[in-house]
Parts: sequence; C-alpha cells; structure tokens
Amino acid sequence: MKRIYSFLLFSIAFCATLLSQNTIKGVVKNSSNQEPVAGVTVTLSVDKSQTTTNQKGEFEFKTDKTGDAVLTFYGSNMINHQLIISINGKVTEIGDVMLMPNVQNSSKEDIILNISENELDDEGSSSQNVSTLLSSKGDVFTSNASYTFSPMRFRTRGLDGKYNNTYINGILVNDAEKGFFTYSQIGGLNDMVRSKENVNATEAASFTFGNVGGAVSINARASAIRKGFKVSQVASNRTYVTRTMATYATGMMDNGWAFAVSASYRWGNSGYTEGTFYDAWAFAAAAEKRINDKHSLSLTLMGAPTKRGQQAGSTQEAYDLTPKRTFFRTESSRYGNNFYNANWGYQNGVVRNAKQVKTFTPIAILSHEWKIDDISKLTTSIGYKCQMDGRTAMNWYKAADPRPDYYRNLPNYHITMDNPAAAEVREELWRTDESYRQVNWDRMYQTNYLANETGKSGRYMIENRRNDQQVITANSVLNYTFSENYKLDAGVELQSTLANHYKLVDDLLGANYWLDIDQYGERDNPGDPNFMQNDLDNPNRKVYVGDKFGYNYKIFTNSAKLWGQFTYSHTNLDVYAGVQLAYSNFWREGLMRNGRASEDITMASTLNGKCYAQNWIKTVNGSYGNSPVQNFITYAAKAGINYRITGRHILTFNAAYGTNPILANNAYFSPRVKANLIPLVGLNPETYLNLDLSYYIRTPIVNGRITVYNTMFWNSTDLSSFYNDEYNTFVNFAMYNFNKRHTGLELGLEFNVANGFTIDAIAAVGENIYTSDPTATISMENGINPDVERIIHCKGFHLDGAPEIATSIGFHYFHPSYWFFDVNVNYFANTYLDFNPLRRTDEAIAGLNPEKEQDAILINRITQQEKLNTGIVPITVDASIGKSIRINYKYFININLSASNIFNNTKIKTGGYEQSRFSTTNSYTDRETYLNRFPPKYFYAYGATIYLNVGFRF
Amino acid sequence: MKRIHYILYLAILFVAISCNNYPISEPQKPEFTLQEGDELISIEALKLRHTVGNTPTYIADNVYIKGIVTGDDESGNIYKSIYIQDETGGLNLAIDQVNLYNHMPRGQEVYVRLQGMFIGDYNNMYQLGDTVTDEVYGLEMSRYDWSNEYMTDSLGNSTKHFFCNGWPDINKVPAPIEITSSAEITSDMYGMLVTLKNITFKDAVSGILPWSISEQTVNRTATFLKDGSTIIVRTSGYSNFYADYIPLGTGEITGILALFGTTQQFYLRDRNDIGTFIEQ
Repeated sequence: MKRIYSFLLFSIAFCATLLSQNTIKGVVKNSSNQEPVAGVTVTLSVDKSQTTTNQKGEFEFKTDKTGDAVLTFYGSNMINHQLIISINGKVTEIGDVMLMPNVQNSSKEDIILNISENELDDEGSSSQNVSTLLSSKGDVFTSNASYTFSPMRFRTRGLDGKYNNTYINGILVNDAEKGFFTYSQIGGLNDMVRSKENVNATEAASFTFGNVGGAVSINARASAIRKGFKVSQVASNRTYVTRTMATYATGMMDNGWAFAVSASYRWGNSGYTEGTFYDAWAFAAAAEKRINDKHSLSLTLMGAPTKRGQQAGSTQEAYDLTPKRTFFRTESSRYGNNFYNANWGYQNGVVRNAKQVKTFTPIAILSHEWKIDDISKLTTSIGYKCQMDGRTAMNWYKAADPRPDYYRNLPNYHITMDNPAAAEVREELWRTDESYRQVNWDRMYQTNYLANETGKSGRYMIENRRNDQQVITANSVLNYTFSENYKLDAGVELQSTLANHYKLVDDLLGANYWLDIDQYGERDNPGDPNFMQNDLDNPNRKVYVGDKFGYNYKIFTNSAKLWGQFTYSHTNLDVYAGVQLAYSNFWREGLMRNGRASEDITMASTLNGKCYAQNWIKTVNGSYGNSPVQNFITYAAKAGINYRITGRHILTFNAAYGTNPILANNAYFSPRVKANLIPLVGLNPETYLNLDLSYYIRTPIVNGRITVYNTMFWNSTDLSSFYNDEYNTFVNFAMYNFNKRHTGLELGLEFNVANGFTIDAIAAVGENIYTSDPTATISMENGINPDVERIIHCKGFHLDGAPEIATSIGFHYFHPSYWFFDVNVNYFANTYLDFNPLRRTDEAIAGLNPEKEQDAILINRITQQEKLNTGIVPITVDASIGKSIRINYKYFININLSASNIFNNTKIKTGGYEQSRFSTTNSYTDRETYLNRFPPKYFYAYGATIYLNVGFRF
Repeated sequence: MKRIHYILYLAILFVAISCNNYPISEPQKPEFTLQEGDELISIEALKLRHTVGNTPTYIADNVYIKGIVTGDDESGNIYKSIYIQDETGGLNLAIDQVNLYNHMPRGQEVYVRLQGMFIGDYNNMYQLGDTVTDEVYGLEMSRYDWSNEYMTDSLGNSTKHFFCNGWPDINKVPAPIEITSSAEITSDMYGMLVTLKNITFKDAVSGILPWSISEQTVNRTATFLKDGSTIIVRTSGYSNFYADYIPLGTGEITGILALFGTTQQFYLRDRNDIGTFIEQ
C-alpha cells in the first residue's frame, strides 16, 4: 500500500514539475485616472506569446521559461510601454502597470470632429458627406484615415454616410429620412464621445447587426466620461477661431452615482472661408446610478445650438478673378482665390451671410443595464431627439438675381455673347470692387423700400427652410455568453420619426410683406390664378416674419428591427453568423394644398414596392392630406471568420447579404409640392452584398492590416436636387433602379522603427462606380415643365466627391519627456465631379452624329464625367507637435499644435457639381453655348490651417 | 412630456433670439438735383439731334433729360425698356436689365444723364441707349449696360446715368393722349402714353382669342370705329396677361404708342390698361 502511495505521490510530483508553468500576471491601468484599461496587447518576449487585457485590465501569461524577460504593452490611445521583469517562482505578480494615455489622440479626434462640424455646404448635389470615422480601435488604417483623409472629404470604401450606423448609449441616431448622422448635432461635446466601440464594415459587433459601412457605439454615460476636471482652449483658423470647453466627471463613485457635465463655446468671426461665421454653444449633462450589483440606470442629455455661415461653391472663373488672401486675411495684390464665397456681403459695413445654418438638436437618452452575470448583460435604452434645423437662403420675386456670382455678373457670359466690352467691364469690377462680388444687402433693402412706396410686395427676403423632427427610439441589446466558446448577441430596435418640413419668413429686408405665390407659376399659367398658389386654401396670402409659407408637409417614418448573432470561439478561430429582420414604413402628410398638384390622384400603399390588394389603391389629393403608407420588409444575413494563424498573423473574412428599405427622401420626388412617389419599381428594396478579406499582422515591429473588399448594390435609389436659376426653382432628379459597386483595398501598417519612432503607411485604393444606368424622374418644383422620365447613361461613372485613392505616410516620434512630433505626407487622387443627369439622357445628344469629328468632340464634352485635380500634384503635408506636462502627479497640461497642409496647397478640389442648366434644343451651337456659359462649380480643400489645443486636466 | 416641451420652447426661443442683429438700412428717398454746369433739355430737343435712319448719334455734352416713367416692365409685356415722358414727348430707354420696374416704376421721376450715351432709332422708333459695332452693318443701337449704374470709370468718376428723384407717385403719370383715329397720330406721339378710344378687335368675334401665344409675340389689329383706320396691338407671350381673351365689342385701351418702320404699333402695359368694352 505504501508503495502505491509513494508511486502516486512521485507521479503527481513528476507531473507537477512537467506541468510546472510559471504565471506572470498584472493589471494595466491608465496613469492619469488609475482606471483599468481593456484591450491592451501585452507581449512576452521570451516566448513571443501575446495576450490582451480584459475589462478589468488584467492579463496573464503562462510560461515555462524563467529569468529576465521584457513585457511590451501597446494599445490604442495609450503610449507604448516596455517593462523588464524577472520570472522567478511560480507566480510573478507584476502589479499595476501604468500606461500614459496618448492624449494626442484626443487632440486628433478633436480635429476630426472639427472637420465634420462644417458639413459640406453645397447647393444640392447627391453626395452626402459625413465624417464617420471616429475609431476606438488600434486599427492603424481606421484611426489614421479619419485624421489625415477627412480634409479631402474621404469616405471609407466610398460609401455614403447612410451606410454607417451611429449609436449613442444604445440609441441609433442616424436621421430616418436621409439615413446618415451629422456629428455637428453634438458638436462641441467632444469629451462626451471619447468612449466608443466600433466595427469596420460588416464585422461582428456586440451592439448592432450593423451596416455595410460599419458602426460605432458611443458610450456617453456618466461613468464612461474620464473622471476629473478638464478645461481646454483651442485657437484655430479653420471653422471657428476659439473654442473653450470644460468638462467635469465624477466617475463611478462609491455611493453608486456618477455625474458628468460638459459645456463649450465655439466662436469665429470668419473661418478659413470668408463670411463663414461660427457661433455655437454645447451642453451635456449625464447622471448614472448603480442601483445594485446587477442594475444601473443612466440619463444623458446633450445639445448644441449652433449658428454658422455657409460656404458656396463657385465657378473657376469667379475664383480666378478674386484677389488672394494672405495668411492673416488681408487682401493680396495677386489673383486666384479658391475660397471666394458668394454667400456673404456687407450690410452697413457689417458682414452678413445670406445662407446660414441655425440648428439645435437636443437629445435625451435613458439607458438601463442589467448585468445578468459577469459575462452577460442586457442593455435597454430609450431616446428622444428633437431636431430644430433651419437653413436660410435668399428668395426674390420678379427682381434681379441678387447672387453676386450670377452668371451675368461675370465676364464669361458676355464673351459667349460676343460682347467683349461688357466682359471687360465686369472683369474690372470683379477684380477691384469687393461690393460687386459680394451680396449687396443695402441695395436689396432699397429695392424693397421702393416696392413699399408703390404698394407692392417685397422683392427680396430671407427664408428659413426648416426641417424639424421628433424622434423616439427604443433599443434593447442582449449580450449573452453561454460558455467560453459560445456567445449570443441579439437585439431589437424601434424608431418612430415625425419630420416637419416647411419654410419661414426669416427677414423681410425692409419690405412690408411677402406674397406667397410662385412667380413662375404666375407667368406660365397666367390664365389660371390657382397654378401659382402654394397654399390654395389661403391664396395670395401676405406673409410676415415668422410665418410659414411656400410649403409645409410632414413625413412619418417608423421602423422595427430584430437581429441576432451567434459567435463561436475556439482557441484560434472565431466564427460568427447573424441575421436581421426589419419592418419599416413611411408616408407623407401635406399641410398645404399646392396649386400645381391640387387634383386628386391615385396612389397605392405598397409592400416593397408592390401593391398586393385592390383596397391598397386609394384616391388622395395630390398635395394635401395623408398619402398611402409605403411598407418595407427587409432582411439581412452575415457571417465571418476570424482565424488566428498565430498570435501575430490573423486572417479574417466577412460576408454580408441583405436588403435595405428605400428612404423617404428618395421616394418622394417633389415632396414640397406633391405626394407623388417615384415609379413603384424604384421602391423595391435595395439589395447589397459585401465581401471582405483581411490579413492582420501584430508584431512588436510591425502592426496593421491589409484588406480587400467588394461591396455591391442592386436596385438603389437616390434623389439629387439642383437649383435651376433660370426658372428660380429646384429641379429634382429621382434616380432609381440602378446598381453600384465599390471595390478596393485598404492598407494600414505601423512600423516601430526605433525607440519612440514609428512610421505608418496607410492607403485606400478603390473604385466606386455605377454599374448600370438609372432611370430618373425629372421634376421641376414650380411645375414650369411637366415631369419626365429618362434613362440616365452613367454606367461606369464614379460616385462623386470622395477621393478613390488616398494614401499617407506618417512619421511619428515620441520623446520620453513627453514630446510628440508627427509629420504626414498625403496623396489623393481620383476624385470625380458630381454630374448633371440631364446631360446623360438620349435627348442631350440627339441629332449629333458620332461619326463626324466635330460632333464627336461635343458629345464627349457633354457626356464625359470630369475627373478632378488631373493637372496638379495633390499632395499635402501635415505636421504637429505636442507636449504633455505632468505637475505634481496630479495635474496634466496637454498642448498640441497641429498644422494641416503646411505647404498651403490650395489647388486641390474636394468636389463640385455641374450646373443644371442645359440646352433644350437640338442645336449644336446652342448646346455648346450652354456648356461654355455654365461651367461647373467647385469646392477646394483648405490651405494651411492650424489648430492649437491646450488642455488642463486634474 | 409637457415640461420637456416647455424646455424645448425655451431653447427654440434661445436660438430665435440670437439671430439677425444686423444694422438695418434706413429707407433712402432718392434725391437728385442738377448741378452747376448741368443742362436740362427736352425730350423733343434730344430727338432733334438724331435723324431717323442714320447711325446712332453720340451725346458728348453734359445734358440731361427729365421725365416721368409711363411704361415699365412689371407685366412682362415691355422687356428691357422703360418709357419716360415729359411735356414734349416720350422716349424709349433701352436698358439691358430685367425687372427694371423695381428701380424705375410708373410714376417715378427720372433724370437721365446723357453724356456718353447714344440717341438713335430702332427701325424709325427713337431709342436712347448704347451702341455695338456690327461687322456688316457698322454702328448699331444696343441696350445700355445696367452695371454702369454701380461702377466708376478709370478716373474714379461714377458711370451712373439714371437718377431717380423722389418716391414714385402714380398721380404724376401724365394723362394719356386720347386717340380716336390713326390719322390723329403725329410723329411726336411715338413713345408717349395714349388711350385708343372707340376701338374694336374684329378678329376676336369668337370671344376666345387671347392677346398672345406663350413665348411668342403676336400682333392683333385694332380698328378705330370712327373711320375704320387700324393700328397693331402687339403683345408678348411672356407677359402675365397674354392668355386673357380679347374682349368683344367696343372700348378703349391705354398703353405706349410705337413705330416699327412705317407701321404704327401699340403696347399694353398690363391688364388694367384694358378698359371697359361694351358689346353692341
């Protein structure tokens, strides 16, 4: 018996020595607030093994090696750190490892948000540019692309903002009508949105089924805001000149409460572009209560009332004739100013911008979290958003066009009219007289005063086009971990939006009243006094400041989504699969009976664009009242694999296929006037397929990924609106039944060259094109021409605005005494101009003979899509320098000075659009004249700008 | 919920208040008086400087004419023109600008600085404006470039030519000359405000003949009942009354008298110019 015991003991001892692994463990914490940091990659040098810290910041290694070893820590938003340890004994307890936060990252994020605070202000092209690139990951491509590529209006994979889902405390904040989220709604609240989780494209996410372009979940709960007090001051010459921000957060306190408040003020008399003033406040308050170990409740309120002046795109001729501005904004003696802005002018010596944004969108989100157990939770949120968004514009009635860059004010028109004398006169005026090339407010007032004297209605006024929304969203997400290997994420999202579109009289500019009729309606159907009425129930109404006029309609949108995703994790393999089912609907309610659509029409309620029953067909008034409900049932499925070949080499594959409902904005082709929908075939849901393959490398020397992707869309719908100044009306092009493809490659690599010195190289090379010809319903809002349907020949055309090629090489140096130096050299190419669909119809080139050389040249001029920046070298260089100072281990001062485009390359176009006026006859000369007379309008990237950010934290 | 709305309305008010604090321009009553060295001449005297059919005559001296605007372009029937009239006659001011009535409406007293302008004729009808050199026909009348109103020349002198004096007053418009037969028309009446009395439109018997056709300019014949003489009533399809039906019977119409070659023409100013027509 004793022998058996000895043998067993010996065996156990033997086995024990064989299995004798040394354990190394520790906790990674943020040195500024002592909070644990999750997601930090830790590498053990002796056997090259790697692990990641968990939610509590803990990491653990098991190794049979002993002796000295180096632990390397690297994570996003933290400064890389190395620690020499000694492995002796079974358990080596490192204790707390303090990592310093990379505050330069938060400065970078501030700049990214600053770019999105000044959304693209063009007069109505189809591109919707939103900076969606906030990233939390240590993903070299994503985190650097947003910072370096945003000034060029880069869109990841060329995808429109509506394909990105943004969540705040669980609530989807994308606009239900347009599909995308504008960060400027929470502008100035940068400190509230630092904590976030995001996924690229259709990767598996824990908070949403996701979308083709990716998703980000911002945690703006009180406990997520960095504890302490922070004040920061910014001086800049981009959009605003000064920003003062203060944030105070308690973090989760022992009594279970957490509070956070943040406020900021952004102001500028004139941004980089003249006449673009900025005047914005922002407030946020958050409170959170940990009720017990399992439940916590949080309430977050945010809002940013903003007023700013907008920028206008102009023709190259206007830019070339305008004097340059020096860095200090004085007028130079040389000409060629790509930042001329036609929207502003002097009023009694004061700069006044005719196109202003006056917007305020307060959001309130109540969120509950139930920790089912240590690894599972159920998060439920309900949010209320009240949007009050207004954009002002000039309006004029039977009076001279007040826009300074009206084509007749520039020489080019007169050259096309063979009148060089008139051209010369205007060129001289434009070059030398600032009041000629800017809005003349005083003249508009005097013209209105004269009209007052003769008892007439106002000739000029400022209107405020309002888009007010009330949105209620409810969301619940379950993250349930069954075991080490199996995880379920599931959720339900409900949303209901009421959007009221109308316009108000903002300023009568001295007139006694404004007459609510359409002047071209008046001219074109003079025998019919009803045709020109905007509101037949109140014909020829006199309107005053604050009155609604012109149009007034509501769009109701509702949606419900149910999704589930299953993830299986093995040692080196993660596999996930998910599905989503969604129902959505929308309808229009017209509150004005418009004279151009006063008759009753037949409209059907549909499901996915099809009418299934006789009683779904209804007779409704063409403009007034409720229109039938359009319903959509859509689904999606996705799956993917994350295969870790080793800890350092990872391969991922993602695939997603699904359908998207058509957005209300794209379905009603002239909603300000009438209830008509695009042809029903356009209401078939859009189908998409997304495939991407990535290879990740994670070694201490090189870190990053390379991705190839292919995203395809079928049966897409899009509405673009151009302003036609000949008829003083909007022309809507509702395009539908077309396909798109986005294909390309993303590369992001970071090299740790030497101590503190890293080089990163990022590149996005892609092609985003139409792969079929859309059909378009072309509608003029004042009814001056009947609506027509045309095929638009744009197969092969590139989606406009974003550069298809964007590359950057960055050099970064971090000095141990907390100095940061960065230089980025960037190159952009393959940006295309937004095109006028009218020029790509059969009618546009009818009668021209492609065999004849002269005709062929004209056909080419009419139909080709313009590629921008072909004659220049689109390279910019950015540099920044920063310093972090720690005083008494408690106070931190961070200074960051960023300079973008330091060599002041002002020749890079970021986008633009063709003018909508085009000849309607078959004459060769007529068409050529129109092309010459109405050249495209462009937007340029800013020249050298600076952003100085000084923050004080304790 | 109500409290939230209350807070929101405060917020809206906040946004609404913080807007439009721009210094308002006060109404400036236009005033003009002739200076030392400026000479006022009559419209008749101006017309005498030019022989119809010749090339346009340049006005080099510092002279002015003064008149009341009798015909403007508000309805769209008159286009890029203003008609002014003094005691001696009426004149067409040919100006390359639309919606001129916003600057010089009916009843406005206007001084025109003639130096640098041209007096000529357009197919026998006197016209004040500018000129352009045609390759074949040489110097021809063209419309005056309205941008000159806001410019200065290379010496810094204003190039403005039209000066309004006082607010417009519809009562200042001279009484139209009454015409009952085309034989009563004398050459000094062209460009003046007239009323054609006792006329009928023989082609309008259907009762549904419009004054003009969309985007075209149409001539209708008016017959004077007194002696059967006729005159052309010319209406633009861009006017806001072109689709109105020509009334049946006999009545009167007011408007501007014009000449095209040897044909007498008449332009309505707006639908209020159409008097009462009585069917017999």
